[in-house]
Amino acid sequence: MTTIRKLFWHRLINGWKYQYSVWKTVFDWIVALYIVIPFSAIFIDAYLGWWRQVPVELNYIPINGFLVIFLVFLWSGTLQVFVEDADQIFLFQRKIWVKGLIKYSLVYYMIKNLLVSLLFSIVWAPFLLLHYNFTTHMFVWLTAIIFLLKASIGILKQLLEFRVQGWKLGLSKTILLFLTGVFLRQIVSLLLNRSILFSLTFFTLITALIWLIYQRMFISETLLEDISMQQASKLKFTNVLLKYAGTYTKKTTTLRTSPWLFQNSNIIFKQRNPENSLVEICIKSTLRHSSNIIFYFQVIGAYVLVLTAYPPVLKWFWWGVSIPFLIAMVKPFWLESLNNPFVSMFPLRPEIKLSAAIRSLFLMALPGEIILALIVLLLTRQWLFALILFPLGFFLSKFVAKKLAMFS
Amino acid sequence: MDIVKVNIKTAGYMANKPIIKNVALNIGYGELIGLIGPNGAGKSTIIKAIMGLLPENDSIVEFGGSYKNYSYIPEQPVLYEGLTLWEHLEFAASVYEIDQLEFLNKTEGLLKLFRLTHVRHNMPTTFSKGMQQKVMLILGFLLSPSLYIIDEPFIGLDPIGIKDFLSLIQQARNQGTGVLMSTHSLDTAEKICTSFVLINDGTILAKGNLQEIREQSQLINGSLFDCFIELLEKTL
Repeated sequence: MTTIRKLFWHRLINGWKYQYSVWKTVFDWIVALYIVIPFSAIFIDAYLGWWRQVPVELNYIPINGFLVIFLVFLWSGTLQVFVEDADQIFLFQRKIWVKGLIKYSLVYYMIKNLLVSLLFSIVWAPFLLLHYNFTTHMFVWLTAIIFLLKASIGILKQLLEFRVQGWKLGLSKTILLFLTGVFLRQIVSLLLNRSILFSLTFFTLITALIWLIYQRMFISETLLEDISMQQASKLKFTNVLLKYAGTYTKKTTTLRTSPWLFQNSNIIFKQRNPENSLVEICIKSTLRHSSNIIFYFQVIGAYVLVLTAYPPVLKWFWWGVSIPFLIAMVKPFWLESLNNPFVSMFPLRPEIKLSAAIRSLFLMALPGEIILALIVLLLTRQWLFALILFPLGFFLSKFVAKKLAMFS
Repeated sequence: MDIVKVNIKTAGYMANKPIIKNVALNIGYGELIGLIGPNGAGKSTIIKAIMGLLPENDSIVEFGGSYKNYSYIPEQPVLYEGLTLWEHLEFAASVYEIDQLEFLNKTEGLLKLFRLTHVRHNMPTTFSKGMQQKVMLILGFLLSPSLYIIDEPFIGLDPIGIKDFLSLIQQARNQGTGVLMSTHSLDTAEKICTSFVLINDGTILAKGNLQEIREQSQLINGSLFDCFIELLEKTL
């Protein structure tokens, strides 16, 4: 007879099998032999090298800068409740079963977080212990903080998603991210200064996590949201693969009836023709999905981190590299738009599709390129360089967009 | 003079596994042909074969006369998650290069007729099934084609929606537009269709106007429903 525990295990194992089948489509033995194994060997070699001698570049990165990596890690992931579509019918009135699934999912979430936090800390251990003057004792405390914070933020983000929607959710998450950054910086500072306040903050964090778990356990009527989040989480990697393959994947329908951008269906291009319309719907639909915007700015943020690690001239070089990188990054947005079943219903000439692809890729990558260019300019203060490189970058963008669009 | 002559020898999704065999039908100007059949009989597959959307398709589809284009209204609404209703309509209009003034006049009328004016800037993916079906009908009627191919139009539509849809179809037919309509709603089909093609198991069971169908089923005063059941039972 099926019990809640058996059902949970069944779903967990099925979830693993599904993810394995998805990964298998990408990492066949050829990829494993020529990419995964050599890169793993290179990483292990580099890692062992860090224990002997940390990279000199670390001298340019203060501890607060280094903690940004920890912040990105803390912010990633959220609680996954193992519920499925059909639970709306079969488990909706069986509250005990739903609560049971939430309980087991929370236990699994905690164990998983503990393991990934341990692994994450071990990866960065040489830098912390050999360069940033952490003692072994402090390192263990830091690992515990990372685990507690990551678990808490994952649950807190989900509680926010239940209670706040639209731009308010975006704003709340941005504030939460900022506060997490400040908190992390302060607690690490207290740890390094061996302050008595550290113990107090640490125990407050434990209390907060217990309170959040309690809140998550007993928040009512979240089954539909849980199902939607679980589906999105399950298909996250699959969707990325399919997008790059140019296959349309159905998006989860939001509860929002009117869009938060271009609310009155305002037009972007005054002239109405098939090409402008294609570019317009691509831009609008990309902007209207907050996950696309978050992804875009996460990549820009990560690229800014990369830029800060290099000397001035190389910063400009990496800005140049960012152009094809950003265009390749926005290409799935275009493919998703073009392959949408609604768009596929209409006869569109190949030359119209191509010119719309070039413009869409160029326009969607442009804001990121401008942001990165301004950051490099601020970091290097090489105004003359900028005067020459900005127009060059503009033409390079056009050229790369054209080349990449041809492979649609 | 026919708008389209269809002769499907075989058609399907996989090689050597045809779903449709020997289906021939003609649609004339102003005609409304009802494509009738049980679930899985192959009605939607015939429609896809006519539109050339099947991977395995040995058929000849000849458009004639002053044919311009066709408009397809699918059974399942096909909508774009990130666009408002108005943006769907604008996109269709710009792809078919409909004059802006004509587009505005026509769209306003259609939105009003189907009572969707107040939600024109909302996202149709959040609409009810019936409202989504109305969006598909508006998109179809926006084009003014020579031929409408409509798959199960009555599913999800409220009675007023059905009435408005039928009146638009009648107006289009009066202007010479042909219609091929797949439906399960036999009562309505009996009232509005000029002739019928009864499909079962991928082949034609009977075709013609109601009188001819009655003769083929040997039910002289039978309704379309009775004739259809009678013909189906004979094949079992």
